[in-house]
Amino acid sequence: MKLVFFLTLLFSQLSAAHDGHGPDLKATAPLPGASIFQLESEWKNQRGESVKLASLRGSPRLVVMLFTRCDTACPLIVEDLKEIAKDVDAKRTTKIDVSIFSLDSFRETPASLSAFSLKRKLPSHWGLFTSNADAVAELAASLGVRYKRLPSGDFIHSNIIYFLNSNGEVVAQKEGIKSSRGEFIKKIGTNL
Amino acid sequence: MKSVTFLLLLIFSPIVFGKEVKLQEAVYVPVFRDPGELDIKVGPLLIDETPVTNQEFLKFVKAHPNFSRSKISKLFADSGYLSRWTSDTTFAKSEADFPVTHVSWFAARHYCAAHGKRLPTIAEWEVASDAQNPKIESEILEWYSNSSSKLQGVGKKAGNKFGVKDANGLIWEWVDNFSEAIMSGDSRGGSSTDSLFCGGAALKAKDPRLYATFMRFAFRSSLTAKYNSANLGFRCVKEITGGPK
Repeated sequence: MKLVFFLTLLFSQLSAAHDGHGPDLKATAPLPGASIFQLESEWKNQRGESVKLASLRGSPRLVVMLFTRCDTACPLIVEDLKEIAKDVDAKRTTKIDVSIFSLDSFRETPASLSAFSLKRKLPSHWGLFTSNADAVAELAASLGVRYKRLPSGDFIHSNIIYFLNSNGEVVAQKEGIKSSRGEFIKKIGTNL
Repeated sequence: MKSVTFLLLLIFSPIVFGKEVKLQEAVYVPVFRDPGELDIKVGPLLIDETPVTNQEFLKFVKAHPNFSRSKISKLFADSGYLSRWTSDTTFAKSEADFPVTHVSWFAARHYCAAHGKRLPTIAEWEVASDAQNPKIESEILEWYSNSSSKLQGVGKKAGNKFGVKDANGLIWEWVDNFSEAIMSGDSRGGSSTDSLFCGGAALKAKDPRLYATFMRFAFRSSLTAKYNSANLGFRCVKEITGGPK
């Protein structure tokens, strides 16, 4: 047991020395002041795993907030997301990350996220997340998402798709379902 | 009961000793309703008698330097944050008991949380302030229209029927769920962006005489969580049984 501990220690020191300029160092560099990864809330993804926002650092991504029981605007915004991701991916070798955060801290669960992912045929690398009311309020406030829970349990909410750089700063946003994708995709292209 | 509350305050609240008043259970009738929206039960709860002052906020900043003027993250406050102060930890001596202004929603929220409290909801604030009382409507409107009104110390004027002071006539106040006042980019089936802000909300007002209430609604719908201004401050509330929700 002691030996294992010693080896682990030795290995971690070696690799730390080795990675002097590697991605590890980058991940511990201070976050830019506008980064949403400063929020310390904890979320559960569609596989039931606990996720801190800071763990999303490292690759640019599209972000939306919605609730999966929504049957009016949400399917449309998800289709919009798919189209945008397809357009962005057409010019790259790696697929763009997409993170969907649920507004519904009351009813959303990893299971309902997973069911939504299947029903909407979302790519498996997309992340869907749920958390408590405080976490939702702070993330929404940081992004500028407005929302209101109705007695039915449904939500009125902003329809905005955000593009975040790898440090979690909002670089571009697309407001409304009917707005055109062209400008948004162009902005993503120049910031990838 | 009061003395117990006071004792608890002494024990659990290392920073603020501001007084709280009790708000009995009441029903808030929303003036601007969305489909299916019902009356909201509020309270019972404790609400700060007066808005948070510069002096009180200073103690919070000293204990949480991340919320000082020079250190606060851009995510949590626009430029102008605490700009009435003269440095990270100083302000004009004469303004110690002035309500703190130029604070963001994030800062206000963290202040309350650090005291085991939270920001009031729209419903709670509207009830506690008595601001929808038609008898004081004209007084409130006069204040709203007088944009150059000067700040002064808190608690100088008598409280309202609940004993809450300075709810009207001194500053505007943050509410926790300001973002529920929705005016643009929402999911109501492709309605054009600004329709709710003027036409929509005004048409939905149950009582068009409550123009002051409409102005508060419009103001909240224009806020973002990083925003600050010269006449926007806050106060906190606390659940009477159990911790903050």
